[in-house]
Amino acid sequence: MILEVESAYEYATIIGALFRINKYVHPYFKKRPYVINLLFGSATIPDHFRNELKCKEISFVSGFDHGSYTVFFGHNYSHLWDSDVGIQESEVKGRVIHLLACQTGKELGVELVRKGAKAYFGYDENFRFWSHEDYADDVLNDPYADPFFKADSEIDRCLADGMATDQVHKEVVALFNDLIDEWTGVNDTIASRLNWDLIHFCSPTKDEKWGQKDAIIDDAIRVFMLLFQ
Amino acid sequence: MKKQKRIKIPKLQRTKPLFLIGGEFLTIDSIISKRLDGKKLAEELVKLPHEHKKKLVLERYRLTPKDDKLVEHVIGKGSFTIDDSIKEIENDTEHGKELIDIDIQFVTRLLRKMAEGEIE
Repeated sequence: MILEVESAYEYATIIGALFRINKYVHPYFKKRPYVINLLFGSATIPDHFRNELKCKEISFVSGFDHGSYTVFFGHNYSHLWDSDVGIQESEVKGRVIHLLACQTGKELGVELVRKGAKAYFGYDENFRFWSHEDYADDVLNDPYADPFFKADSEIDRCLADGMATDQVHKEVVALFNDLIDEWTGVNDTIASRLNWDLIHFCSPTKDEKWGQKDAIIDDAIRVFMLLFQ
Repeated sequence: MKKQKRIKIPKLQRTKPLFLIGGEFLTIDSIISKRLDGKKLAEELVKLPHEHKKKLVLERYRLTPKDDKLVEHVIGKGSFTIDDSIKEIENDTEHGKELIDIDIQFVTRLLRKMAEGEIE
């Protein structure tokens, strides 16, 4: 079972949520044997988040919103996870967590793993991306924003395919590098930000403080459905 | 044997400098014609004093085509056009300093790729 958290309360988060829900993350999960609990927009508040995390079958949390070194935010900057306040073991134990949010790798990601998460993927500095106003009404076809969400969501797609975290890391780094090379030959302003995001990408392969290199999503429903397919 | 990927740099981007030496900006083409070692330049680049890096990065931004509809988003920090970024760098703000780091890291990657024969 997957918990997908998609905030969308100002322009930057709306762009990201649109890419994740309509193009790169949600449709991919839906094609696979997972039960997906989606928290979207104004539902991404602490009460709902806590309630969802009580569900023991959740093996993977994939979230998108603002972040800081210690906080993963929800709707209107409410605090979903805050390592200064404390992380409940029961909310993270045995789970793989991917946060597309600025800076959370620095402290929060480490704390999630310390409290029992099997792995954390994210960024230890600001996650940057570009968009073009000509595509404001057609965000999914914005060629300047697309590579950033395509690269990050490779984490979700690889995990959903059952890859171990070390292999996920390799696939994500390879895709980032391909996109940086591609954009270096087109527009180096885009390429330089992809390069920055790659440098600040965090995974168990980069450092064990972000978890185990051989972790996979332990999803009983997925395994059951694969066995009887 | 794996075929080496080569990146073709467009004409406009070739005018952007990759290094600053004795007040002179070096572009891809001048580095190639002077037969300078990209790997060594990359090592030297990261050691340059802040003011030199700032001068180099500002020149690169000034040579970037203006498109006020192209906006950079830093989740939690705001949105910035190329002109906004130039002001941040000129004013030595924290964001401006991060923008210098971003560009220096990218140019370092480019210089290394030049040394490996991946740039044409």
